[in-house]
Amino acid sequence: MDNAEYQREALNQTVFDMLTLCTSQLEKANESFVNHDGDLAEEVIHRENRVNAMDIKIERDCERFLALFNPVAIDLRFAMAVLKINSDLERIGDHAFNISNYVVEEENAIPSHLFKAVQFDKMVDTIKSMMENITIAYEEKDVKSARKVFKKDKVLDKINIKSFKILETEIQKDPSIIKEALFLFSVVKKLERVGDLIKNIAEDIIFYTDAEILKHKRKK
Amino acid sequence: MNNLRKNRLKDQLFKYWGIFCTIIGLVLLVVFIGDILIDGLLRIDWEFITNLPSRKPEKSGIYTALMGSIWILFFTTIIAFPMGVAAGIYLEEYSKKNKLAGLLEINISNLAGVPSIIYGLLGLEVFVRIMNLGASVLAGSLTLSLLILPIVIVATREAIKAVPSSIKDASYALGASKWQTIWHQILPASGGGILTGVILALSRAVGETAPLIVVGALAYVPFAPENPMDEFSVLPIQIFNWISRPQHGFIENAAAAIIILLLITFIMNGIAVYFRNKWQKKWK
Amino acid sequence: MAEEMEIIMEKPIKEPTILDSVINPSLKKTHKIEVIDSKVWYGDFQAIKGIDMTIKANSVTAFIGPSGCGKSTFLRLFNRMNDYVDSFRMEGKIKIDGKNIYKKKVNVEELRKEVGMVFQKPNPFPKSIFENVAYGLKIQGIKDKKFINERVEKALRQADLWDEVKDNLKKSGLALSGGQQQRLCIARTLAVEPSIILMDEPTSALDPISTAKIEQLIFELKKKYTIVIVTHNMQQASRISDYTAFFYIGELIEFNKTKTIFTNPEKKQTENYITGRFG
Repeated sequence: MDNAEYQREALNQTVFDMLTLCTSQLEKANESFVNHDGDLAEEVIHRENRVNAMDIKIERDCERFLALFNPVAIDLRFAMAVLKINSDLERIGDHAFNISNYVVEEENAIPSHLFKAVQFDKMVDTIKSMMENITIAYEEKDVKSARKVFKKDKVLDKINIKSFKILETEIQKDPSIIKEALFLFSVVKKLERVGDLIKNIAEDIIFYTDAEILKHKRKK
Repeated sequence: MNNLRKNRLKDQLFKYWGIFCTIIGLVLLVVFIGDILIDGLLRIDWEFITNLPSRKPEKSGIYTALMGSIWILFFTTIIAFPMGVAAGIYLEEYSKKNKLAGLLEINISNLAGVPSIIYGLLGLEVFVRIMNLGASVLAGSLTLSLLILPIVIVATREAIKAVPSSIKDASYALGASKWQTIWHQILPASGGGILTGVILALSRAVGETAPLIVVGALAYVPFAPENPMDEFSVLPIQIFNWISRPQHGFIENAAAAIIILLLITFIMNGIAVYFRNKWQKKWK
Repeated sequence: MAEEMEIIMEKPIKEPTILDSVINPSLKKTHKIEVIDSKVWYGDFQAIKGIDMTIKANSVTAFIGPSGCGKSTFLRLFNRMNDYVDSFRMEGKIKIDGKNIYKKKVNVEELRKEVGMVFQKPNPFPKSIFENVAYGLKIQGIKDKKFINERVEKALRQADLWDEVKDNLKKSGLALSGGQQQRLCIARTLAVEPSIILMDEPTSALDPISTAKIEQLIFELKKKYTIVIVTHNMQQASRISDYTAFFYIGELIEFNKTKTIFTNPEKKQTENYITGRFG
């Protein structure tokens, strides 16, 4: 393996580490939100430093890779995809951080009937499976796995759209839970955005692997 | 006639002119050699080669002249070869390339063109008289060495110049001294070229007549040389001598001797060409 | 070899010199080559106008710059190959391992056993492959056949040429392809086991595949040797070197880590040259 390949592999590995880290942050944040687990939330908040540090490292390493090795074709697409994927992962990490902040700042847990009403479990499970899809897609350059997330994202969109009406109804039923309902609404929105970010990552993986640009196209 | 046709015509004219000139040269050569062969080929037999010269043409042989030529050739080689090659190496590799060196280079080239009889006069004064060597094989060899020395030096320098400087660079870069580079790289690489030049110079020496006459090579010599201080004769002088005689038999002898001399010259040139080709192959 | 590759995988991007100094602690602060206010004249023309530079051991340093800016001249100061040019004159100090190599008592032939050189156009001797590689040992007076055979094999292996020629070492060096010839020249230099290898545009006469092979070779060699390479090809400098020196008309404009030179150079002139805006 020559120098350029070493550097590329190292960069690849670091992005994979970032992917793993952000997946774990997201999972823990969701879990802490559902269970109102303050300790878990603190852990996520604390690890946000690591996410930021990795983000900077990947950007710097990618710049170096481009400057020193003048990659072309698949290597160039790889570098471009790395930058975008990194940025999206960092935003996912941010969302996880913000969700955990709610848990820490708010003393009351969200009532479980609210979770059930908006089908929060389904959202969390969908997101978990989407993250698994892109992890496999990235690791094995498997375009099929990447494509799976587009359909799943629709689930998230649906839940998000419905959540307004559902929570409005719940608040009317019991005004005392308005604060918690608003928090929940906010988190649902965040998770919907996380879904979009995961879709972006999938697009980037497909671009890098197949040189196919999927942005702004209608996806099945 | 337009330009294109004019040019084509010039092309054709030149081509045919070149062919014509070449043919003239070849034809003359063929005529000359043919004539000699007709005159002398039948005369050549073992007795001709081993007989001493005598007053009777049928009994005359070239033995002493042939032996003289061989002795002269031998001593000229062992004198001129090392000296000329060493001088060539020195001038090309060691001396500084300044104005003096340039002057030296011009002078050495000029020496190659000096009429050979001048060398004979020089040899007579210095070797025969001052050094008291008499009209010996040694004096004759020394004289001829002086004659061909410039040729050997120039041939050596040209052969060394032809060695790419990249080879020298590589040798120096590995830590070789100047002498090591010369001994291990330059000489082996230029050896073929040097050898070619030396053989060509010697084949010229074989045919030299005037300087040896001046030095005192005898026309009538009844014995072959036995040591370097002996008197001697050489083939060209023998040929000259026979041609001046009136008897027809001596003309035949002369022709036969010319054939032998030509044979020697061709063989030496052939060896030179063989070495040159072998040397050139190394660089392919 | 495998263990070394593993180590590099663990710490992929950070300073490799730290690794080597773990293996050999004395290397940590070594300035392998130190140049102090060096100036060079060819007759009246000043080719180098006062340069200071330090080069660390086990690194690859690239010299870049437009044609005629003095990079080759500067490179040849390190093994004193400029000495053969009649009008050459030098001021300043060049220290290798702390010792000034331009002092009168320095034996130039000894110096060149420490500092080897590979040239732009492959220049194998018109001898067999074996004799080419063994030449450097022969001129040192080494006669032990076993030793020579071992060194020749080791050098050819290091130069990544052994497998291609091992069946016929008696073949003429000139019968090899261009890329192979250059690797032969590298093996020839390695056989003497110098500690510094100077390369003057070693791949500019080669095709892209041979070039890639030799770049890979340089990457391997830097574990044991200190390498200084003059190159016209900036991408090559960025690919293989740890440090880069940018020369312009006899002056050293910038000397820095390659990473910095190619992402954020300090001098505008450097940036202009690298981006192709001049020269």
